[in-house]
Amino acid sequence: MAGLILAFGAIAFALAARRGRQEIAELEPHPPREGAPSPPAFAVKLPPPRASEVEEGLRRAFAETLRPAGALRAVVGDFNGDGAEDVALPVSPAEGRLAELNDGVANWRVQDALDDPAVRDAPSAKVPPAAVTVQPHDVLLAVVHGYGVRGWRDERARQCYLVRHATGAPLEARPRTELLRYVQRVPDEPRLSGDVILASAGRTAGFVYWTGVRYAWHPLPKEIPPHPTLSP
Amino acid sequence: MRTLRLSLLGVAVAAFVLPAAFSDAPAEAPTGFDGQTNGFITQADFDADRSRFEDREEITPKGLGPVYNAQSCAECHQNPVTGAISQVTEVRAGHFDGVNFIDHPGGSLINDRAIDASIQERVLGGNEVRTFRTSLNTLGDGFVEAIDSNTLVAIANGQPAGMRGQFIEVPVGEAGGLVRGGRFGWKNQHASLLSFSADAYLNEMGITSPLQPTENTSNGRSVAAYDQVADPEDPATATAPNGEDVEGFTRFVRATKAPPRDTALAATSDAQAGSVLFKQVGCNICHVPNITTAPPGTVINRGAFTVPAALGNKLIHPFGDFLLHNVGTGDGIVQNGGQSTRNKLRTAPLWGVRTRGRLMHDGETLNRNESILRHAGEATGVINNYRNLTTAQKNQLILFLNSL
Repeated sequence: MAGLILAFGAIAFALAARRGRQEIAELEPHPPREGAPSPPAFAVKLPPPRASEVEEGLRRAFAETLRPAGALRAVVGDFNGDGAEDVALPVSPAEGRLAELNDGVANWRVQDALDDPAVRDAPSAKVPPAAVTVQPHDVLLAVVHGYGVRGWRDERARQCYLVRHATGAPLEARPRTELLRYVQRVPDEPRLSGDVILASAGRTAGFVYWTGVRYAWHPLPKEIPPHPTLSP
Repeated sequence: MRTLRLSLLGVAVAAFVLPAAFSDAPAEAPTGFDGQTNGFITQADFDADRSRFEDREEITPKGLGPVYNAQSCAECHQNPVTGAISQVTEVRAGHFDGVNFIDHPGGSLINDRAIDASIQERVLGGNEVRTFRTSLNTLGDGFVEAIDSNTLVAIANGQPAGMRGQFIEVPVGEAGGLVRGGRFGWKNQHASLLSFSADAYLNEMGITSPLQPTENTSNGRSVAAYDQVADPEDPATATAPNGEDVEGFTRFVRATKAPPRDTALAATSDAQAGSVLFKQVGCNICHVPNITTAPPGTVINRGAFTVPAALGNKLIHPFGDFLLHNVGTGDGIVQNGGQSTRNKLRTAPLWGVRTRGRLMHDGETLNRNESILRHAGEATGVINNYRNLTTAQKNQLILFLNSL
C-alpha cells in the first residue's frame, strides 16, 4: 500500500512540476553564418575552346552516347545566366546508344526548341506535352552548363541538355546585352536570362535562349541585322 | 498479497509516467489526409473553420476583388484534402535592370481575374522577368510556425559553406512589423500564419482585413471605383481583432495534421533503399527530414502567439529546411528578402510531394528525374552524386520520393 501511495505521490509531483515550467520566449535568432556565395561571375576571360576540351566536356556530361555532328563546332557563352561559361555544339547519337539516350532516368533532358512554352505551360492544358525523344538521325544541340570560374571545363559541370531544332545556321553565340535592346521592343519579349545562340529554324532567322526551364527558339525581330553581327 | 499487487502496479505506473513527465523527447506530430484536427482546436471548431476556408466569396457582401485570383482558399489548397496543394499557379513579373529587380507596376503579383474587364491585370512590356508559382501545401503549417527561428539558423549553420541556406527575417504584421525568421511562401516572405492568411486573403481574393487594409491596384491603377465594400472588408470584431475570416483561416491551418507518408510504399525494400540513397547522395542537407518544434509555452511571432501543447515539442518530417537557396532555378523575383534573394527560393518541403504532378516552384517540370536534374548551383555536388547512381538506384530514390 505504501508503494501505491508513493507512486501516486510521485506522479502528482511530476505533473505539478511540469505545469509549473516557465513560459519561454523565442530568443532573437543568432546571426547565421555567411550564406552560400553567389555564383562567381567570369573572373577571367577564358581561352577559346579547344576540340579536345569540348570532347572531354561532352564525354563527362553524356558519357559515350554522342558524337559531334560533322566537324566539331562549339559555341560558348553564359547561356543560363548563372555567371559560369557554358558550351554548346551540334551532336548526333552514337551508334547503338539510343536506348541510353532516351532512358527515363538519364542524366540529361531532351527538349525541342520549337515547343511553344506558352502552350506547354498552360495550367489548363488538357494533354501533357509528349516527351521528346532522340531519333537515330537527329542532329541536336548539346548544351553543357558550366560551374564556377572554370565553367564547362570544370569537373563538376554535368548539367546538360539535348535540344532539337536548335542547330540551324549561323550557330553563333551572342551576348545577352546585345539582344536585349531589341527584344524589349517586341510585344511577347522573351526573358533573356543569359547569352543566346543565333540559329535559324528553316528559313527564319532566330535565336535559341534559356527560359529558366528549357531552351527555346525565338524569331529575330525584323529590325535586327541577323548576320554576321547584331550591332546596329 | 493484494496490497503487494497494488503496490507493484503503482510502481509500474510510476515507472511509465515519470520518465514521460520529465522527458524532453519530442512526440511525433499527428499526420493524415483525413480532415481531422491535430488537437489545437476541437473537431467542431476545426470543421467550422474548414468550412470558412472552403467558402466561395462573392463581390458582395464579402468584397471579392476588384482584382483577385480565386474565390476561396480551397480553390488553390485542396488536393487531396482541404488545406493541401493544387495544380493552380499564379503569375509574378517585373524587370531586372542589371543590378536590381524592380516590381511590375502594381506589384510583382499579376492577378488573373477581375470583377470588371476594364481592370484586368496583364504583364506589361518591359517586364521580362516572369514566373509561375505553384500553390503551396498548408497542411502541417502550424508545426512549421512553431519551429523556433534559432532551429532554422542552426540548420543553416550546419550546412556546408557552399550550400548554406539563407535565413531571412520578415515582418510579423500582428506584432507591429517586428521581424521573425521567414518560413512561409516560395520566398520565405512570411513568418506567421496570421500574417500569411491576411496576405493571401488580400492578394488571392482581394479581401482587405485589419492587417492588410489597402486594396491592390490593377497594374498600378487604382480600382477604388470598382470596390463595392468598405475596407477592411473582413473587419475587426470584439472576438477577432484581425478579422473573423483571417483568424478562422489561421486557426484552421494551425490545426491541420501534417501530410502523411504512404506507409505501404514506404515499407517496401526499394523505398527503404531509396531512403538510404536520399541521405547518401546528400539530398537531406536541404530536404531536412526531421525538425522538432519549440516546446509548449514558447512565445513566438514576436510575442503574438504562444506555442500550445498540440503544436509544441513535436517531431515533424517536412523534408525541407525553410531556408532560401540558389539551385539554379531562381525566378528572378524579389519579395521580402532583399536583392540577394533574387535567384533564391525556399527549399520545397517534400512532405506530401506524391500528390503533385507538376513540380518545382513553377510547376513546369513533369517528372521526378527531371526535377532532380533541374537543380544546379548550390546543389551541383549533390546532383552529381545522383547522376552517378545506377538506373536501379535512381528508381529506388524516386520510389522513396513517391512515398512522401
